[in-house]
Amino acid sequence: MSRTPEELFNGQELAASGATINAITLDSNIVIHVGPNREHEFRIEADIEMQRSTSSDYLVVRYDPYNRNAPEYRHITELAMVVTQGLDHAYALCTGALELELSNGTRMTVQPKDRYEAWTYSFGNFILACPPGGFNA
Amino acid sequence: MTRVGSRWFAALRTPSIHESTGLSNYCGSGMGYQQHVQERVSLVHRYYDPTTEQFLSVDPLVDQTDAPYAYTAGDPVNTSDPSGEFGISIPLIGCIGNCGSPKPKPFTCLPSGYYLSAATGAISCASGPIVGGSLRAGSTAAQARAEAEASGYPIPDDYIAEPAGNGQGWVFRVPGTTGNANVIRVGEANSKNPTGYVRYFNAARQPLNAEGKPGPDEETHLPLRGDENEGDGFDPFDPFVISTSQGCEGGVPT
Repeated sequence: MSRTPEELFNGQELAASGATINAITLDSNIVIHVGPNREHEFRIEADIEMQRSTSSDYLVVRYDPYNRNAPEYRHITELAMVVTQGLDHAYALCTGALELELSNGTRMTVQPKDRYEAWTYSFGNFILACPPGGFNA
Repeated sequence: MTRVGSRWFAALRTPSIHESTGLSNYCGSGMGYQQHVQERVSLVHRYYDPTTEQFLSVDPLVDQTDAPYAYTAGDPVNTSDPSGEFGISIPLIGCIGNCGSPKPKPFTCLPSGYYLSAATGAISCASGPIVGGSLRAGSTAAQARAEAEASGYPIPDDYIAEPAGNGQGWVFRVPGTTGNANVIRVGEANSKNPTGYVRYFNAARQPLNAEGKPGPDEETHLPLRGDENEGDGFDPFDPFVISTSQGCEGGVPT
Protein backbone atom coordinates (compact mmCIF):
# COMPACT_ATOMS: atom_id res chain seq x y z
CA MET A 1 0.00 0.00 0.00
CA SER A 2 1.40 3.37 -0.94
CA ARG A 3 1.48 5.94 1.79
CA THR A 4 0.96 9.63 1.31
CA PRO A 5 3.59 12.04 2.60
CA GLU A 6 1.11 13.26 5.18
CA GLU A 7 0.94 9.79 6.67
CA LEU A 8 4.68 9.36 6.95
CA PHE A 9 7.08 10.62 9.48
CA ASN A 10 9.07 13.31 7.75
CA GLY A 11 7.33 12.38 4.54
CA GLN A 12 9.63 9.55 3.62
CA GLU A 13 9.96 5.81 3.69
CA LEU A 14 12.68 4.25 5.74
CA ALA A 15 15.84 3.36 3.88
CA ALA A 16 15.35 -0.34 4.53
CA SER A 17 12.65 -0.49 1.86
CA GLY A 18 13.67 -2.77 -0.97
CA ALA A 19 16.16 -4.84 1.01
CA THR A 20 15.78 -8.41 2.24
CA ILE A 21 15.20 -9.59 5.78
CA ASN A 22 18.47 -11.25 6.66
CA ALA A 23 17.89 -12.55 10.15
CA ILE A 24 15.81 -12.27 13.26
CA THR A 25 17.36 -12.45 16.68
CA LEU A 26 15.74 -12.69 20.06
CA ASP A 27 17.64 -11.13 22.89
CA SER A 28 15.86 -8.84 25.28
CA ASN A 29 13.63 -7.86 22.35
CA ILE A 30 12.86 -8.98 18.84
CA VAL A 31 15.44 -7.66 16.40
CA ILE A 32 14.85 -7.76 12.65
CA HIS A 33 18.02 -7.45 10.62
CA VAL A 34 17.62 -6.24 7.06
CA GLY A 35 20.10 -6.03 4.21
CA PRO A 36 22.98 -8.29 3.15
CA ASN A 37 25.20 -6.96 5.88
CA ARG A 38 22.41 -6.40 8.39
CA GLU A 39 22.96 -2.73 7.95
CA HIS A 40 19.34 -1.97 8.84
CA GLU A 41 18.03 -2.96 12.23
CA PHE A 42 14.57 -2.84 13.72
CA ARG A 43 14.47 -3.42 17.47
CA ILE A 44 10.91 -4.19 18.46
CA GLU A 45 9.82 -3.68 22.06
CA ALA A 46 6.10 -4.26 21.57
CA ASP A 47 3.72 -6.76 20.02
CA ILE A 48 3.86 -7.25 16.27
CA GLU A 49 0.63 -7.68 14.32
CA MET A 50 1.14 -9.91 11.31
CA GLN A 51 -1.48 -9.95 8.61
CA ARG A 52 -1.36 -11.93 5.41
CA SER A 53 -2.61 -10.43 2.20
CA THR A 54 -4.90 -13.38 1.59
CA SER A 55 -6.77 -13.02 4.82
CA SER A 56 -8.18 -10.37 7.08
CA ASP A 57 -7.12 -12.44 10.05
CA TYR A 58 -3.98 -11.47 11.83
CA LEU A 59 -1.88 -12.88 14.58
CA VAL A 60 -0.03 -11.12 17.33
CA VAL A 61 3.61 -11.95 17.88
CA ARG A 62 4.65 -11.45 21.46
CA TYR A 63 8.11 -11.80 22.92
CA ASP A 64 8.12 -10.84 26.57
CA PRO A 65 10.97 -12.49 28.43
CA TYR A 66 10.59 -10.13 31.37
CA ASN A 67 6.93 -10.72 32.05
CA ARG A 68 6.46 -10.53 35.81
CA ASN A 69 4.42 -13.70 35.94
CA ALA A 70 6.26 -15.84 33.42
CA PRO A 71 8.07 -15.25 30.15
CA GLU A 72 5.59 -15.05 27.31
CA TYR A 73 6.28 -16.09 23.74
CA ARG A 74 3.62 -16.23 21.05
CA HIS A 75 3.90 -17.02 17.35
CA ILE A 76 7.66 -16.82 17.27
CA THR A 77 7.75 -19.56 14.65
CA GLU A 78 5.50 -17.56 12.38
CA LEU A 79 7.69 -14.54 12.87
CA ALA A 80 10.77 -16.52 11.93
CA MET A 81 9.15 -17.44 8.63
CA VAL A 82 9.69 -13.92 7.34
CA VAL A 83 13.45 -14.40 7.17
CA THR A 84 14.57 -14.23 3.51
CA GLN A 85 11.46 -12.27 2.55
CA GLY A 86 11.91 -9.01 0.73
CA LEU A 87 10.94 -5.86 2.56
CA ASP A 88 8.98 -4.00 -0.08
CA HIS A 89 8.15 -1.05 2.12
CA ALA A 90 9.15 0.12 5.56
CA TYR A 91 7.05 2.98 6.83
CA ALA A 92 7.21 5.06 9.97
CA LEU A 93 3.78 6.60 10.22
CA CYS A 94 2.94 9.86 11.90
CA THR A 95 0.84 7.93 14.38
CA GLY A 96 4.02 6.26 15.57
CA ALA A 97 3.17 2.92 13.98
CA LEU A 98 5.86 0.99 12.16
CA GLU A 99 4.67 -0.86 9.07
CA LEU A 100 6.73 -3.45 7.26
CA GLU A 101 5.30 -4.79 4.01
CA LEU A 102 6.89 -7.99 2.80
CA SER A 103 7.21 -9.37 -0.69
CA ASN A 104 4.91 -12.29 0.13
CA GLY A 105 2.11 -9.88 0.99
CA THR A 106 2.49 -10.07 4.74
CA ARG A 107 2.17 -6.82 6.63
CA MET A 108 3.80 -6.42 10.02
CA THR A 109 2.67 -3.54 12.21
CA VAL A 110 3.98 -2.29 15.52
CA GLN A 111 1.82 0.25 17.29
CA PRO A 112 3.27 2.88 19.64
CA LYS A 113 3.19 2.19 23.34
CA ASP A 114 1.74 4.60 25.82
CA ARG A 115 4.65 5.37 28.13
CA TYR A 116 7.62 3.77 26.48
CA GLU A 117 9.34 3.42 23.14
CA ALA A 118 7.82 0.66 21.03
CA TRP A 119 10.45 0.28 18.34
CA THR A 120 13.73 1.68 17.09
CA TYR A 121 15.12 1.71 13.57
CA SER A 122 18.82 2.26 13.04
CA PHE A 123 20.85 2.60 9.88
CA GLY A 124 24.30 4.09 10.05
CA ASN A 125 24.13 7.20 12.17
CA PHE A 126 20.39 7.47 11.76
CA ILE A 127 18.39 6.30 14.75
CA LEU A 128 14.64 6.67 14.73
CA ALA A 129 12.81 5.63 17.88
CA CYS A 130 9.07 5.80 18.34
CA PRO A 131 8.53 8.10 21.33
CA PRO A 132 5.99 7.15 23.99
CA GLY A 133 2.57 7.68 22.46
CA GLY A 134 3.90 8.19 18.93
CA PHE A 135 5.52 11.09 17.12
CA ASN A 136 2.76 13.54 17.90
CA ALA A 137 2.32 12.78 21.59
CA MET B 1 14.34 0.81 47.51
CA THR B 2 13.35 4.09 46.00
CA ARG B 3 12.06 3.81 42.48
CA VAL B 4 13.92 6.42 40.49
CA GLY B 5 16.54 9.08 40.72
CA SER B 6 20.13 9.43 41.54
CA ARG B 7 19.91 7.92 44.98
CA TRP B 8 18.28 4.80 43.70
CA PHE B 9 20.81 4.68 40.93
CA ALA B 10 23.64 5.02 43.39
CA ALA B 11 22.19 2.32 45.58
CA LEU B 12 22.23 -0.12 42.70
CA ARG B 13 25.66 0.78 41.62
CA THR B 14 28.35 -1.83 42.06
CA PRO B 15 31.98 -0.71 41.89
CA SER B 16 33.83 -2.26 39.00
CA ILE B 17 37.33 -2.37 37.65
CA HIS B 18 36.46 0.64 35.54
CA GLU B 19 35.72 2.81 38.51
CA SER B 20 38.26 5.34 37.38
CA THR B 21 36.40 6.04 34.18
CA GLY B 22 33.19 6.90 35.98
CA LEU B 23 31.37 4.61 33.60
CA SER B 24 30.65 2.08 36.28
CA ASN B 25 27.88 4.42 37.35
CA TYR B 26 25.72 2.84 34.75
CA CYS B 27 27.64 -0.20 33.66
CA GLY B 28 27.37 -2.17 36.87
CA SER B 29 29.72 -5.01 37.54
CA GLY B 30 31.15 -7.47 35.09
CA MET B 31 29.89 -10.31 37.23
CA GLY B 32 26.37 -9.08 36.78
CA TYR B 33 26.70 -9.23 33.06
CA GLN B 34 28.02 -12.75 33.12
CA GLN B 35 25.25 -13.91 35.38
CA HIS B 36 22.71 -12.42 33.05
CA VAL B 37 24.24 -14.05 30.01
CA GLN B 38 24.07 -17.43 31.66
CA GLU B 39 20.42 -16.96 32.46
CA ARG B 40 19.33 -16.18 28.94
CA VAL B 41 21.61 -18.29 26.85
CA SER B 42 18.90 -20.72 25.86
CA LEU B 43 16.75 -18.01 24.34
CA VAL B 44 18.87 -15.90 22.16
CA HIS B 45 20.46 -15.47 18.79
CA ARG B 46 19.50 -18.39 16.70
CA TYR B 47 18.42 -18.17 13.15
CA TYR B 48 15.57 -19.86 11.43
CA ASP B 49 15.51 -21.60 8.08
CA PRO B 50 11.95 -21.48 6.74
CA THR B 51 12.64 -24.31 4.28
CA THR B 52 13.52 -26.78 7.02
CA GLU B 53 11.55 -25.08 9.77
CA GLN B 54 14.54 -25.31 12.02
CA PHE B 55 16.76 -22.84 13.73
CA LEU B 56 20.19 -22.59 12.28
CA SER B 57 23.65 -21.92 13.55
CA VAL B 58 24.68 -19.71 16.34
CA ASP B 59 24.64 -16.00 15.78
CA PRO B 60 27.82 -14.88 13.99
CA LEU B 61 27.69 -11.90 16.30
CA VAL B 62 27.87 -14.21 19.29
CA ASP B 63 30.90 -12.43 20.60
CA GLN B 64 28.76 -9.38 21.03
CA THR B 65 25.42 -10.90 21.82
CA ASP B 66 25.96 -13.92 24.00
CA ALA B 67 28.87 -12.41 25.81
CA PRO B 68 28.21 -8.76 25.27
CA TYR B 69 30.54 -7.50 27.91
CA ALA B 70 33.30 -9.98 28.53
CA TYR B 71 35.21 -8.90 25.48
CA THR B 72 35.47 -5.40 26.83
CA ALA B 73 36.10 -6.47 30.38
CA GLY B 74 32.63 -5.42 31.42
CA ASP B 75 32.86 -1.94 29.98
CA PRO B 76 31.13 -1.96 26.61
CA VAL B 77 30.44 1.74 26.61
CA ASN B 78 33.99 2.88 26.90
CA THR B 79 35.72 0.19 24.88
CA SER B 80 35.26 -1.69 21.66
CA ASP B 81 36.59 -4.77 20.04
CA PRO B 82 36.69 -4.41 16.30
CA SER B 83 39.17 -7.24 15.89
CA GLY B 84 37.23 -9.62 18.09
CA GLU B 85 40.22 -10.19 20.29
CA PHE B 86 40.55 -7.58 22.97
CA GLY B 87 38.78 -4.58 24.34
CA ILE B 88 40.49 -1.36 23.40
CA SER B 89 39.94 2.14 24.62
CA ILE B 90 38.31 4.61 22.31
CA PRO B 91 40.51 7.70 21.91
CA LEU B 92 38.98 10.63 23.65
CA ILE B 93 37.95 13.50 21.43
CA GLY B 94 36.90 16.60 23.25
CA CYS B 95 34.17 18.95 22.32
CA ILE B 96 33.35 22.48 23.32
CA GLY B 97 29.97 24.02 23.75
CA ASN B 98 26.84 22.43 22.45
CA CYS B 99 28.61 19.71 20.44
CA GLY B 100 25.48 18.87 18.55
CA SER B 101 24.00 19.44 15.14
CA PRO B 102 20.84 21.45 14.71
CA LYS B 103 17.78 19.37 15.40
CA PRO B 104 15.64 18.48 12.43
CA LYS B 105 12.29 20.15 12.25
CA PRO B 106 9.75 17.54 11.29
CA PHE B 107 7.35 18.83 8.71
CA THR B 108 4.48 16.43 8.48
CA CYS B 109 4.88 15.04 11.99
CA LEU B 110 5.03 17.84 14.45
CA PRO B 111 6.32 17.70 17.99
CA SER B 112 4.21 18.44 20.97
CA GLY B 113 3.21 22.07 21.07
CA TYR B 114 2.71 22.52 17.34
CA TYR B 115 -0.13 21.73 15.03
CA LEU B 116 -0.52 21.67 11.28
CA SER B 117 -3.54 23.48 9.92
CA ALA B 118 -5.47 21.19 7.64
CA ALA B 119 -7.04 24.22 5.96
CA THR B 120 -3.99 26.33 5.29
CA GLY B 121 -1.10 23.94 5.74
CA ALA B 122 0.51 26.43 8.10
CA ILE B 123 2.48 25.28 11.12
CA SER B 124 1.32 27.01 14.28
CA CYS B 125 1.87 26.73 17.98
CA ALA B 126 -0.64 25.15 20.27
CA SER B 127 -2.62 27.85 22.02
CA GLY B 128 -3.35 25.85 25.12
CA PRO B 129 -1.00 24.54 27.76
CA ILE B 130 1.15 21.55 27.02
CA VAL B 131 2.74 19.12 29.38
CA GLY B 132 6.44 19.15 29.93
CA GLY B 133 9.07 17.70 32.20
CA SER B 134 12.62 18.55 33.02
CA LEU B 135 13.66 18.29 29.37
CA ARG B 136 11.17 19.91 27.08
CA ALA B 137 10.59 20.06 23.34
CA GLY B 138 13.19 22.11 21.55
CA SER B 139 15.99 21.16 23.92
CA THR B 140 19.64 21.61 23.10
CA ALA B 141 22.26 18.89 23.40
CA ALA B 142 23.79 20.69 26.34
CA GLN B 143 20.44 20.77 28.12
CA ALA B 144 19.89 17.09 27.46
CA ARG B 145 23.30 16.22 28.83
CA ALA B 146 22.83 18.42 31.87
CA GLU B 147 19.39 17.04 32.67
CA ALA B 148 20.59 13.46 32.32
CA GLU B 149 23.51 14.05 34.62
CA ALA B 150 21.41 15.99 37.11
CA SER B 151 19.10 13.00 37.18
CA GLY B 152 21.96 10.68 38.05
CA TYR B 153 22.65 9.30 34.59
CA PRO B 154 26.13 10.35 33.47
CA ILE B 155 27.17 10.83 29.86
CA PRO B 156 30.92 10.62 29.21
CA ASP B 157 32.42 13.97 28.29
CA ASP B 158 33.89 12.67 25.05
CA TYR B 159 30.56 11.45 23.70
CA ILE B 160 29.30 13.57 20.85
CA ALA B 161 25.67 14.57 20.47
CA GLU B 162 23.48 14.04 17.44
CA PRO B 163 19.83 14.98 17.12
CA ALA B 164 17.49 12.05 17.48
CA GLY B 165 15.84 10.98 14.26
CA ASN B 166 12.41 11.67 15.72
CA GLY B 167 13.31 15.27 16.55
CA GLN B 168 12.43 14.72 20.20
CA GLY B 169 15.73 14.24 21.92
CA TRP B 170 19.41 13.57 21.51
CA VAL B 171 21.72 10.67 20.81
CA PHE B 172 25.13 10.60 22.48
CA ARG B 173 27.77 8.32 21.05
CA VAL B 174 31.47 7.62 20.88
CA PRO B 175 32.96 9.73 18.08
CA GLY B 176 33.39 7.78 14.88
CA THR B 177 30.88 5.06 15.68
CA THR B 178 27.59 4.34 13.95
CA GLY B 179 24.46 2.39 14.72
CA ASN B 180 22.72 1.89 18.01
CA ALA B 181 25.54 0.15 19.87
CA ASN B 182 26.80 1.81 23.04
CA VAL B 183 24.74 4.92 22.53
CA ILE B 184 23.00 6.92 25.22
CA ARG B 185 19.74 8.50 24.18
CA VAL B 186 17.91 11.25 26.00
CA GLY B 187 14.24 11.67 25.16
CA GLU B 188 12.32 14.85 25.74
CA ALA B 189 9.18 14.90 27.81
CA ASN B 190 5.91 14.57 25.99
CA SER B 191 2.29 14.14 26.96
CA LYS B 192 2.74 10.40 27.46
CA ASN B 193 6.06 10.44 29.25
CA PRO B 194 6.04 13.69 31.17
CA THR B 195 9.51 13.52 32.65
CA GLY B 196 11.53 12.56 29.61
CA TYR B 197 13.95 9.68 29.95
CA VAL B 198 17.43 8.32 29.35
CA ARG B 199 18.23 5.03 27.64
CA TYR B 200 21.57 3.29 27.69
CA PHE B 201 22.45 0.69 25.06
CA ASN B 202 25.18 -1.93 25.21
CA ALA B 203 27.43 -3.28 22.49
CA ALA B 204 24.71 -5.68 21.43
CA ARG B 205 22.39 -2.68 21.07
CA GLN B 206 20.16 -3.80 23.93
CA PRO B 207 18.59 -1.19 26.21
CA LEU B 208 19.89 -1.42 29.77
CA ASN B 209 18.47 -0.80 33.19
CA ALA B 210 20.21 1.06 35.98
CA GLU B 211 22.14 -2.06 36.87
CA GLY B 212 23.60 -2.27 33.39
CA LYS B 213 21.48 -5.26 32.40
CA PRO B 214 18.77 -5.65 29.78
CA GLY B 215 15.33 -5.48 31.28
CA PRO B 216 11.68 -4.59 30.79
CA ASP B 217 10.42 -1.23 29.55
CA GLU B 218 9.86 0.31 32.92
CA GLU B 219 13.45 -0.36 33.90
CA THR B 220 15.21 0.65 30.69
CA HIS B 221 13.49 4.02 30.36
CA LEU B 222 15.31 5.89 33.12
CA PRO B 223 13.20 8.91 34.06
CA LEU B 224 14.73 12.34 34.22
CA ARG B 225 14.62 14.27 37.44
CA GLY B 226 11.51 15.66 38.99
CA ASP B 227 10.91 12.60 41.10
CA GLU B 228 10.17 12.08 44.76
CA ASN B 229 13.88 11.91 45.53
CA GLU B 230 14.06 15.63 45.13
CA GLY B 231 11.98 15.96 48.25
CA ASP B 232 8.97 17.68 46.72
CA GLY B 233 6.76 14.63 46.52
CA PHE B 234 6.63 14.85 42.74
CA ASP B 235 5.38 11.79 40.93
CA PRO B 236 7.30 11.34 37.66
CA PHE B 237 4.23 9.90 35.97
CA ASP B 238 1.93 12.69 37.02
CA PRO B 239 2.00 15.33 34.24
CA PHE B 240 2.36 18.93 35.12
CA VAL B 241 1.56 21.88 32.93
CA ILE B 242 3.71 24.61 31.51
CA SER B 243 2.32 27.58 29.66
CA THR B 244 4.77 27.84 26.80
CA SER B 245 7.26 25.62 25.04
CA GLN B 246 10.68 26.46 23.81
CA GLY B 247 10.83 27.29 20.15
CA CYS B 248 7.19 28.33 20.08
CA GLU B 249 6.50 31.93 20.93
CA GLY B 250 3.55 34.16 20.27
CA GLY B 251 1.78 31.52 18.27
CA VAL B 252 4.62 31.29 15.77
CA PRO B 253 7.23 28.54 15.65
CA THR B 254 10.75 29.82 16.09
